[in-house]
Amino acid sequence: MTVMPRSLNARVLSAAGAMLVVFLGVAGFAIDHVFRETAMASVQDRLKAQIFMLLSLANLDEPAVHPLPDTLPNPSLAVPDSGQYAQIFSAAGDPVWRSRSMLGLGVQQPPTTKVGEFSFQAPISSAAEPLFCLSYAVEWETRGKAEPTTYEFQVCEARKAYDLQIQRFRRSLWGWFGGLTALMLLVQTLILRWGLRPLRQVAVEVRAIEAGRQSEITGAYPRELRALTRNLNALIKARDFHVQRYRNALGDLAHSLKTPLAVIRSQLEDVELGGEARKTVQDQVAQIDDTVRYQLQRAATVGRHAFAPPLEASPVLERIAGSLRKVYHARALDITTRAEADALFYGDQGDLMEVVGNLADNACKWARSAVAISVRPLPRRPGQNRPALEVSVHDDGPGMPAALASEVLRRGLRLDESAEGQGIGLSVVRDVVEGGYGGTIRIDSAPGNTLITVVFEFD
Amino acid sequence: MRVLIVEDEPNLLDTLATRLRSEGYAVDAAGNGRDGLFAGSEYPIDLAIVDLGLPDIPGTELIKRWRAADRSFPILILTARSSWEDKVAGLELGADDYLVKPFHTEELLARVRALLRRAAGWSDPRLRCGPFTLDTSAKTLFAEDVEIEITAFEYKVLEYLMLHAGKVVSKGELSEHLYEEDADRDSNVLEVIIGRLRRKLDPSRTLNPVETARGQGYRFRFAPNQQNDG
Repeated sequence: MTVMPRSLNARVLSAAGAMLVVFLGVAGFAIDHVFRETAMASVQDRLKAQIFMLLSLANLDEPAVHPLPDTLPNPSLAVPDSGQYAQIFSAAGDPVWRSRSMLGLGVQQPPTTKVGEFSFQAPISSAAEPLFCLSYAVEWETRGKAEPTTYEFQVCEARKAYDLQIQRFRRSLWGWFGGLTALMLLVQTLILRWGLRPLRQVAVEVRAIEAGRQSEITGAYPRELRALTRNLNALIKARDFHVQRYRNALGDLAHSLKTPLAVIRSQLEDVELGGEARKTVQDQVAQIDDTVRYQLQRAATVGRHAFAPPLEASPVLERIAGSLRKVYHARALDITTRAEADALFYGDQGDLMEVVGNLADNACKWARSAVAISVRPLPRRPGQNRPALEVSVHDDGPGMPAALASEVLRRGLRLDESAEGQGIGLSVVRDVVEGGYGGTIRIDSAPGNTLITVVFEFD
Repeated sequence: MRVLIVEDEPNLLDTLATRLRSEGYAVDAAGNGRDGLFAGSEYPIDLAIVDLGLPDIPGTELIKRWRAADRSFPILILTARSSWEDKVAGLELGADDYLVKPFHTEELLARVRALLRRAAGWSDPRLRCGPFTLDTSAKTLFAEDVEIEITAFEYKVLEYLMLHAGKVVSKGELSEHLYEEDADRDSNVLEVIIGRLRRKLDPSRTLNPVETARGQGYRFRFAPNQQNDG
């Protein structure tokens, strides 16, 4: 199974999109990391400031009385459940003082901290909420005491504030990054559209050539595309030129083969030959003639091709009918044509004339009084670019036996020697329609009613 | 009837000319386009057989020039190219019928007869005028279903007169259409033939089928019985 190559747009956009996501993802992660570290540092700074504030206010000369004033500069310490807490432990681990905000909170076992050093614990889970805590041990020299007493100050802050800050930051960060990604993808798309515009232009021109509105690519294109458009033009021109040259060569070949055949045939009628010998030579001449005619016609068939401009089928029918009226003048046949609107033939005019000419000529040979030639476009099938074309020729002749109808299309079979070229004519039709256009041919025949229908396909 | 053949293949030209002469036609044979063009333009021919593949002037060009000069004789095309595009193009230029090489000489003769009849306004191969019937296929003459024996030359004269039945045909016209260009024409011969025809057609001397229009020529008195279709 082959995978359809994705469009250039999809390729470039998906690559750019992936790159953008990776780049912004890594950048966002780094920024997030830095921000969290900064936020944590500021939490520690705040806690440190609290400890210094407590230290400056503490009076631990008589710890039992009033280690700290009732009113503290940080009012949150006085409000229960405010998220900011402070306590002082003695060296033995007994709480000496607790801020009013700790009302109802369980006692935290103080960490054993070396004197003069900060110790940060994060996060400590308490009964109510996770906390960041900072401890600091001091040696308090009380007047009159020889040994200084060690106290441990601990301040805590609810982690909630920090989490909230991180959350707000992240929301804002990724919001901006998302917007930025969308904006950059949009810009990328616009750049791509602008960049690929010449390619779309070429496609439009190629379609116009297919539709026959123009005969070559005329627009000015960027350097990268110029080689392509130049080659396309050369290809189209070379094709027309080759077809013409080929046709001429085939015509010359036909002339140089058939004139001697005509001489042989005419001489044969004069020379003294036994009846049998004459018949043999005549048959051989007829066979050579048929082969030459069939093979030359086969070779001259152009067939469908992408750059075939549409051809109105109606005038071709009219020309064939006009010619046949002249040729069959003596038999006073009623030769009629009918063409539906938009009956377009996307191919070589010679091919269409060959098919219509042979079918109509055949019908005239057999018809009693009337021949009807008609053409109509078939309904477009889904995904079909150019609708198929149906050509049908009807005559009121004696009709073809069913067995012969199926065999008559076989190459070189002569249905009736008296109607010259009969077998070849229909074989040529079949070859052009099936071989050149991938179409179909059907024969419906009854006495007084013979209809031959061919369908050309162009996609 | 006088027929011009333009064909560059000498064997074919010769065979066709001989055959047509044996059928009673006066034949002008041209081996190239130039001679053919001249003959078709200058001689009073009744029909031209033209090969499209001439080496000097294309057959289509001859047809175009003759038609442009109002030469209206029927033209039968001979062509090696059997493509319909060529056939239609030739017919549209002014030719009246075509034959693809190689052809049966009998087929050619049948087409020639049909074209000559058609040009004179007849569609049936049997020319019927009054009691007389001339079968142009079998070259036989009947008067009220009784066959009358006539010679080849008598047939030629009678055919021309009957094709133009009801019209006056001058002696000069008759000899121009019955003799080839370089033939030795003797008007006395025509008078003798007319006399013989009168005796054979009208032994009782009551019908007078071939009238003499004094000082102008001859006229076949009976108009065609059939509907002429132009």
